[in-house]
Amino acid sequence: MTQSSQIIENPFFTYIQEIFGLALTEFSCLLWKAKAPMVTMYFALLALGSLVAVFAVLVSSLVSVPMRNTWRDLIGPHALPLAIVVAVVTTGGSLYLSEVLGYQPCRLCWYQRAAAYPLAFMLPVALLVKRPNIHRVAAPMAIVGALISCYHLLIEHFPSLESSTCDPNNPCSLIWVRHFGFVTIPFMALASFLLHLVLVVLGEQNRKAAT
Amino acid sequence: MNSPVKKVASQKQVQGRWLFWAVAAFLAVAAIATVIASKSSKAPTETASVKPLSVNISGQTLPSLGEPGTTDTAVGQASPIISGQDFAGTEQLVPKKDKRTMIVVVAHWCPHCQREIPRLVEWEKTGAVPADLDVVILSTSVVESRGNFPPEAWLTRENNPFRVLSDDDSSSAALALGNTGFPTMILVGSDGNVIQRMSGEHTIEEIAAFVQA
Repeated sequence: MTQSSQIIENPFFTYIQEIFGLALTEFSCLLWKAKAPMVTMYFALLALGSLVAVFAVLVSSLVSVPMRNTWRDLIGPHALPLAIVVAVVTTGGSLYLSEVLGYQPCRLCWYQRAAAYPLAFMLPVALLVKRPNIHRVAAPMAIVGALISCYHLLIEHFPSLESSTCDPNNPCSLIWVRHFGFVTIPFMALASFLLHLVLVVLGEQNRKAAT
Repeated sequence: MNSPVKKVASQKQVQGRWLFWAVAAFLAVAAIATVIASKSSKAPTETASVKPLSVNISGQTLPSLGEPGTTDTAVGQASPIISGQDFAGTEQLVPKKDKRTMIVVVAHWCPHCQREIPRLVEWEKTGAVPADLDVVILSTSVVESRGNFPPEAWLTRENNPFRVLSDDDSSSAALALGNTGFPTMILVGSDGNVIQRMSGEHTIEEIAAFVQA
């Protein structure tokens, strides 16, 4: 069986084809796979940029109260739409890695998915129904997700923390993607969770200031 | 004259527009950087091994290796005899007749194996490998997408001095040896019977003690 036909027979694509009637040709599937290093590099750069933004907001907010207020007034009113973009990109990226590239998610990956995927549904719903206190659910989920990502990163760097042997099936220490020597999939997940957290907190601060 | 409410609304609109362009610029810069980084990064010089590999196994499959501390029922049992090829296509027989053999089962993507191979190389460099011991690296579970591919390039990069046996796509050789995790070491006596097996990462001292058994 060729690689392209394997992708065509992937249940995810079959589902997409059935629902949306998309004509996924073998060519387009191969193109997606061929561009894999470029796409994962893009994700890596987004993750790095997100982390820089998170640290810029955190550090400047810690050292200066006016800066904290500036971030709150600048980003706060738009925090929810921004968080939705982050959640959708995170979920889409995660599905691309597993369903298109065939990177089998490990146990810890699934835990992180459990924290990330609901955000892609909850946040848009919160925006639609104008439910401002979504932070009460979104923030703990982002914190739990970030903690799992940190543990996953530790296991990647110190595989002995998990076990002294590799599970032949799918160990959590297996590194599928690595860019710039340190940006791996859990690193990207951590960046996403932290960005979610900052956005949700800024949104909540803005809401409190407005009321 | 604008009311204060209208003023705040228009201020928010301006901020929203500013933020939209900031996010768009960030995404565009990341895209441009990706294209530049992808073009400047070296094209992989290693090519995937495409020739179909096969192994022939004679003898009984060893029972699966249990958790450390449990009795290994494979000890004393005759090791299956595996014939196959190394990466260059040279015929290899494991274990060789009348020779003590240590088979090291590794997977190219396994971080523990990636740490263990340099130790084995170091062990060989120190001259501590017993003269009567034949060390064989069994490369198995080859999956291109899992990184550090192909195993041939990895072992060459590590200056592996030992014989290599390349397993087939079904990991038949590793399964015949009762492998349940990577890395696994199997010590076979000159009579062809299993002396002991162990899995996981080990120090040079532990490996030296293992082969003295």
